[in-house]
Amino acid sequence: MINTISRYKYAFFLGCVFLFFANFSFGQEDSILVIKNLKEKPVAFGKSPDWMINGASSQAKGTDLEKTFTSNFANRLTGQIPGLTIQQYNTEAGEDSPNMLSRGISTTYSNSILVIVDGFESSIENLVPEEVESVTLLKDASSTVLYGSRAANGVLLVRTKHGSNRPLQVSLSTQQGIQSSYNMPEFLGSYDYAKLYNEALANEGKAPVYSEEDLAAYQSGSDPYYHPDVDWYDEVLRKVAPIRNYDLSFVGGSETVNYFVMLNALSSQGLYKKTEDISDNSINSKYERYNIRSNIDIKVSPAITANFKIAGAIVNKDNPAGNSTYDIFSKLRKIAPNAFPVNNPNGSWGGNNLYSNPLGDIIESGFYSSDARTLQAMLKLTGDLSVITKGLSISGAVSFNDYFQSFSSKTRTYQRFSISEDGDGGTIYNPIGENTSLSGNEGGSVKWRRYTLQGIINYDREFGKNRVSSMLYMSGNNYLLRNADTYDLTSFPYRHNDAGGRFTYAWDQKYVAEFSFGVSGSENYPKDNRYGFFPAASLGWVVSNENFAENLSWLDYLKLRASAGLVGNDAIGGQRFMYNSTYGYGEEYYLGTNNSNIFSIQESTYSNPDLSWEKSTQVNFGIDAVIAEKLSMTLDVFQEKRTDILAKPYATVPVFLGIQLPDLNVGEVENKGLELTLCYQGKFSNDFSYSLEGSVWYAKNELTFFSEAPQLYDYLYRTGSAVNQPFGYEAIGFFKDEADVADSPVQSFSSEVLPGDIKYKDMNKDGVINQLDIHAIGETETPTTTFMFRPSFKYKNFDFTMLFQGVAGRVVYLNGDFYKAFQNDGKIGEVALGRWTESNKEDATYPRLSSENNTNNFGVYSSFWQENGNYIKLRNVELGYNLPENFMAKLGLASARFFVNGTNLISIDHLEYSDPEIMNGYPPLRSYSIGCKVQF
Amino acid sequence: MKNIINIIFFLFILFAIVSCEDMMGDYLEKAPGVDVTEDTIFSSRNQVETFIAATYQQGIHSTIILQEDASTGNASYGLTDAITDEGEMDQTWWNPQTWNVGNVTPNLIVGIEDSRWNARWSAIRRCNILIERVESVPGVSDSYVKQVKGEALFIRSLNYFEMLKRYGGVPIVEKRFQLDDDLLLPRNSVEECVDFIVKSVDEAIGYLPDSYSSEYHGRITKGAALMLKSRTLLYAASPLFNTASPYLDFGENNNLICYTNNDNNRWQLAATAAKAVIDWAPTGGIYLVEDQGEDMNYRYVWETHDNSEIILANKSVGEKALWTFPWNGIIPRCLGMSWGGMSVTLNFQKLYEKKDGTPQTWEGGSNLNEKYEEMDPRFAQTFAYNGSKWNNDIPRVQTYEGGPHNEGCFGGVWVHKRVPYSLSYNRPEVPHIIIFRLAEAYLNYAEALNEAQGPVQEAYNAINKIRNRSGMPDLPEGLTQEQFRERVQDERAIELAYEEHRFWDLKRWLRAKEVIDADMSGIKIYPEGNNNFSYEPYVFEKRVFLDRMYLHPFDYDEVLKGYLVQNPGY
Repeated sequence: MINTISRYKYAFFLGCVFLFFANFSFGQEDSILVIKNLKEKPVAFGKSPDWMINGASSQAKGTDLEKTFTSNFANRLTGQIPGLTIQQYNTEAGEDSPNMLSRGISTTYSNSILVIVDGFESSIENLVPEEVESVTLLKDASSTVLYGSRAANGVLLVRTKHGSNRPLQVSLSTQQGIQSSYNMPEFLGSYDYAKLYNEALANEGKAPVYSEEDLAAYQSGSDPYYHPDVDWYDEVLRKVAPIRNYDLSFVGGSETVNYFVMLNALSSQGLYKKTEDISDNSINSKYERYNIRSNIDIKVSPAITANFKIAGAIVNKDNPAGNSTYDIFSKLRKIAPNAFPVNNPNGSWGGNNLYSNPLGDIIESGFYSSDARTLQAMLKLTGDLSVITKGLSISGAVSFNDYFQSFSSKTRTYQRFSISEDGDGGTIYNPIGENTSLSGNEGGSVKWRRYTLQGIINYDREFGKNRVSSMLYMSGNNYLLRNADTYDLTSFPYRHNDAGGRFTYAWDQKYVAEFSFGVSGSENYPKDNRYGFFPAASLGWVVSNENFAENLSWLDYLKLRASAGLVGNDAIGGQRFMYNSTYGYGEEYYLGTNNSNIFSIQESTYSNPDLSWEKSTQVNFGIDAVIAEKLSMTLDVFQEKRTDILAKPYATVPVFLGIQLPDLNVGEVENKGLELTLCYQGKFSNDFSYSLEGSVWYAKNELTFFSEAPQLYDYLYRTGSAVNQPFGYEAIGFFKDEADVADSPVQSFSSEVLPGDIKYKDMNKDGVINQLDIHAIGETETPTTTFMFRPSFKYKNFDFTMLFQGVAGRVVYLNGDFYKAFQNDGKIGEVALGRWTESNKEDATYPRLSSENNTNNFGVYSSFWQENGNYIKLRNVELGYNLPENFMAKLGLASARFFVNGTNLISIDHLEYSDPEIMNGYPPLRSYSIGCKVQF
Repeated sequence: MKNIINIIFFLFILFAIVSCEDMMGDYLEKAPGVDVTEDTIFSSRNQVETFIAATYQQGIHSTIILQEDASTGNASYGLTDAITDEGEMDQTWWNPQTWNVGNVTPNLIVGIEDSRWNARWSAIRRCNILIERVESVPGVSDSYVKQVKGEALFIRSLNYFEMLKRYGGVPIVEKRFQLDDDLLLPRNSVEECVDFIVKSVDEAIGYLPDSYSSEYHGRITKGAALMLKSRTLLYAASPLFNTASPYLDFGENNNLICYTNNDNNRWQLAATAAKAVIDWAPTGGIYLVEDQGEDMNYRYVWETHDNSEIILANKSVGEKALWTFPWNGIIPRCLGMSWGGMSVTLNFQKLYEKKDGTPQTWEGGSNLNEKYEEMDPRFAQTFAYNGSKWNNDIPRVQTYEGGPHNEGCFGGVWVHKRVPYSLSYNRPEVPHIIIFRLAEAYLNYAEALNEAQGPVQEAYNAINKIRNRSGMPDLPEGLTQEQFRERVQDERAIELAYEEHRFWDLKRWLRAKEVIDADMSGIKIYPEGNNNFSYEPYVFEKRVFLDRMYLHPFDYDEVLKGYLVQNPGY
């Protein structure tokens, strides 16, 4: 092992030798060229002029991200970066981290992106757009290969703002808005509930439980206590909740010191009613976050620069009735409108033996308060070693990244009463639960720390028409995770050793060749297999700089790019240290005449001594073009083959091996796709300019090998389908009548099958519907295609922007309680009105109603409950007005802008009753806000 | 000033590089933790004992339903009793019903009978690890090493025997396989499997002690190994395997399901092996229970733990309450808080003689109480019939039509054996799970000797010993070999009832088709007043036994892997 290390250490020193050598061979003359596209873009471990970048990357500016008003930074990226797919499943502030994918899905295990903030691995949820200069997604192997075994899923680079040599500028802004829910499920009231429940009973040949008098009472609403009609959503939630943001920043600098300092505060109150105002046993739901950042660059001496960055976030979350809103929302979806009144005639809480009172819960049952803080600190020193040779610099950096969360939980039980009539007009109160005082539980829940050391050598120089840019780095990374009350393999420190280098050579700003590599080691692998080497190479041709292109005056810029490389993904899934066999406690055995028990330890899982990371071979071709200074275009086409994905070797290993099999690196996935971005910037007049930007990105994957167990029928194999392809029964309509049930294949999911139940396809035609009849149905929930369209207009001092984002090639599964009428003692939603009945056989859109749990209709995964999940959403719209400059000058201000903003205002989709993104739990949110930003 | 800054800078860079240097050494070694590895286990005798406990736990099968948790390998809803004439489950959803309609297929077999299919192979692997590693444990005595090897050889052989009787020949795995070994072993022949078991057991006999101190009571003794040898050779000599023409012709693969020849000497080998157990027994402190009285000896044997007749028991469970497994699966629903139990077919009741050694008649009529009075004392010690006691909670069992204990009682009589009389709502009990007991050796001996030499006196002596201790008279003198065979088979059915013998015995005698593929009868009981009852035989079920069912099919998933030849007919 030491040998392996030493080899890379030698490579490091050899690189230094190369630099000296290069110094002499190219001579000493520097030259200055004037070319287009000199603007620099972030690349791994640095920046590079656009024309020198051969890899695929795309970028969003911090100012664009400010326009989507939401609490989690990751959700602001939705639709902003071609190639980046954001899937949000929860909207509750603090619980709303989305799933982020670069170029779709390439593996059956972790597809998570490596996130780098200012050069160090970090997380982005708690950043604010005001502190971010740009977010760049590195997509292909040549862009990411320096990150070695963690590069395959793409790398998201975040650069924060920094000062420059200019006078102090103070910027103060605020945004005030309201959030409201949209696409909420609509449930039926008590009258319809009771009527349809009777219908469900009749379907099963049972007597009705609601009499005509009951129905009349529900319809008239004349008896709110014994015949209540409660909309629990209305009782517990309010229509709108405030969300606010304040930001104060200072930016500026001098010859020696540059600074960017920021303070930010955000508050979002959530949709619960303000319970603290009603009861001492609760607090108002709220989410508050305070961000600070101080980025300071100091020129210590002419040759030495120090970068010192500290950033932190303090997050405070209060929630009545438990840690999250999950329990309350599941009750809101379940409790029938006629189950019990909110309050009984005497003012006490209503309830029954099945459910507590959701409003009572958030007012009376205590609260949960959590405090979290993140700290990111880094110090980097850079020395200019021009004394040795021009263009050479060396830097060393250390970074700490820390997270801590603690909680305070206060709980109590409270009394509800189920009521009944005593026959004399009085009310009998049956108590449920007791009133207790609050009891507390405080503690630390999660903490993690990441500690990184880094050393970098840079060499960047021009010799005539030659330009050489090269770098080498080494880094060590230690990540420690501690969850309260858990001791297992996750509490071992996670460590990485990484090194890498990049050598770019450009000639005459026409031809760019680059070779880069990464070396990665991790403790998760067997000793002799711990380090991996990942190479990548790329070529670029700036066609527009060729002599023959000079005549094409409309062609401002054209570059052709190609890259190929091997990168890895070491988030391989499974248990850590799989190169060891595992031994675990088994059932006890008893010996002796007293039958005393003896502990047993058994071999549980076989080791995989060849354990390795996933390997990804990636090829990318790209074109960048600017035409007539108006239309710019970027196109990337890629293909990726991911191999060595962990999979169980079911197909080949016989049972007599006698041990639980380990995962082996045998799975394979192929993924291919493209990203296209077009941007047109035009002017109607000098006062009226506009830009139209549109992107589309597409990725489609296929599981090409998964070592599956042999199957009886070809359609049972998952290989050949997309990763996460849904498999289920194919619904082929409803049973028409008893004869239809009798003549069809046997479906034994439920005890009896009735007309109006869903009928499934008998794939193998054996007369029985069972596991052998499932096959690929519909598409995955991850879209294959995402697109965005961003028109923006500027008229005099007004500006107007919209961002549309949409997806296609996506299927969702309608799985919530809303879709399962009366199941698990639940209620009934509007969707069930299209139910099958004797008189509505042809147009039925929903199976016949069942009063009991019906596995046949609701309990098996079938195509009946799949729905087209494509959508287009208006993610943000903003209208702004800048006060005129002369007016500003009188006030002594640099600028002032007022704006109105809307986030998630429009959703166009195929789902009549719910949202295609957030189908359960906390509802999807939209916001309306106004704000202003003043600079002086 | 500038110099100081430069010095600080270079110190910092030096620090970074030196720290990186630190990371090159052991930085990526796994930090110390509390996880267990194989080397930890084989580092001391105490640790090895935990591994042995796990090997017993997984390696010794159960003869009663243990639990529903499939991970321990002892799962099964309903063992083989209810797929023979021994009984009928009171609830139709139990697995035996699948079996009784002939629905035995490769994808069902693990679920309906051989739930230990996977567990058995991991038990064999553990035995191979023990054999391979036990010598390397520091500081243990030579006799301990031998004993552990003997235990491992025995458990491995026991599991091979359990597969032999189900499948015929299976692949022989004599060492711990690694993933990169050539894994797709074909099936070995029946002869090779028998020889492998006998060879291993002979080796174990040389290693194992005759007995253990009371602290270790329940571990494998020399006697257990002798018993396994006896049972293996008995099965090998029986018509199912000891033949040139198997139950279904399998062509060139006939050697996977039988010997491909008939050799009567195999019976002599079986007889000698059975005699060896009987001869060894006093050395190991093993005696037939004869001192509890003729009406109690039999019950004492199956009810009392570690009694003098037990050579090996499965001791994988502790005390179990009335409403948990195994009681859950063997007590009839109307007699406990359970999921179901078993009633006895009239076909099986008819095997029991009267106390005087003559057959009982079951033609119907009154005086049922008197019939019961006349029966072989073991009848009352095995069954709960109308008017008998279940336990202290239920002093009187009432299975007559309309009676409280009639629900699902197709045979008219419930099985009581395996459920201790002391078990009640307030009193949990440890299940007594017999694997080998001395009585079996006598029956093996009588059967094998009759086949090898005819009904010689020694064969009579062996079977009479079993009959006499339960108060039954000697077999009549002068039986022919065929008559003696019939008597010894019936005696075996009665003595070893509900100990997981009947199904396998019927198959090895090639009598399963005759006995199981038949009408199953029971009796309906009617009160006549004055505590008298009449009864009437009736047929409750026509069972199916197909020829192919003489051996199990291999699991569907395993056959698809392509290395196993499926048994004929599936």
